[in-house]
Amino acid sequence: MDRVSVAGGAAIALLGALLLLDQTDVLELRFAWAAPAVLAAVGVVLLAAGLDGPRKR
Amino acid sequence: MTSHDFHADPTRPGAIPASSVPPRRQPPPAPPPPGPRRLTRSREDRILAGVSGGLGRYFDVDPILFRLAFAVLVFAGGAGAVAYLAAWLFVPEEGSRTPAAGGSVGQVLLRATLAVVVITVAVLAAFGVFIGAAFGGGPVIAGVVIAAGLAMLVAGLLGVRRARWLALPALVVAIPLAVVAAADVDVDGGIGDREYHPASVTELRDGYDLGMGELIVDLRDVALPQGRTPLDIELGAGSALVLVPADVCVDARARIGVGHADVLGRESDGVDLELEWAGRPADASVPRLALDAEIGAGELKVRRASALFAGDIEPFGGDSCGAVS
Repeated sequence: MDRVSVAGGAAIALLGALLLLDQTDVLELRFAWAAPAVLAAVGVVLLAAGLDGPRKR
Repeated sequence: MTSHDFHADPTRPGAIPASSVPPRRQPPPAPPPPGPRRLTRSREDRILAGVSGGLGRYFDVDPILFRLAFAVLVFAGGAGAVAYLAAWLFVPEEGSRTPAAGGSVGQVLLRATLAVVVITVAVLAAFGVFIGAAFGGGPVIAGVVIAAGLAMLVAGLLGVRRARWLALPALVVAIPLAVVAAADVDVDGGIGDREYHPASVTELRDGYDLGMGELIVDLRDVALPQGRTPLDIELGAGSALVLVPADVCVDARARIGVGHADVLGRESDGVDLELEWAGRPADASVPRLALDAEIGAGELKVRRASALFAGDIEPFGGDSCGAVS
């Protein structure tokens, strides 16, 4: 299992779901929520990649 | 005297002839001290110029860290693009001792041109996503982001590392969509610059709508009736300027996703702005303009006619019938 892909993929899918809910008027996203959501998704990918260490050669 | 001197002195009693002494085995030469690690652009692990691959190898971390950092910083005033371009030019490629900028003028120009083209394409793609989402394509774009995330997730569960690259385009698409979603940018009103200059109340609309561009509503020639006159302004992205006559009170409500408001000299900026200005209670005979503005991303300006003739100095207060509630 590639933890970076799993964690990053889950974070990106959740971010996409949040944006989809806004675009379908299920919820009204504001910057107060959107900015942390984007940064959290980016942070999850970065954190997972950082914890995973260097690429195996 | 050292043992070497002892053996080497054949006149000394009991001395052993040098020819019978086995030669001392020399220790293997110590490996040369490792040179300083050099930051180079990777030849194998590259998407554009191998900058992130080289940084990942240098710092012994996954290159996706740097790829994402460059991509995210592109949205921070283009800092990521400038940093990548600089690294491309000044960090030598693996196996080479001269940076790209140290090559021939033609090579440098070629690389710089290629970098500018790639970055321009990326920025245009992000702008395209912004426009596409503003025109109602948001659900589709959000679906693409979800699909990319799920593809990464499934690939990760199957142990496939190569799907990691999907994170980059997915986030590059998601960020402008998030801006559109948060600012509630709606460009149904069209794109371009619009200027409205009604000459009388009968020409005055209830509302003015523009998707993207500059919207000017000039009410200076309108003799507003006594009482309250509503005026709605809707702007997806851009700037809106409302010029009001000198003798009216202004009540203003503004919702701005991200941007700046300047209503009769009262300024505010930031994100998720919800502002309300109420004119001071005045004689009912005084005309009162009830402005309701909704702006996704951009600026709202409300100017009084007298201010235009006074060097843009806002006559706020006094008889201007304005006060922050």
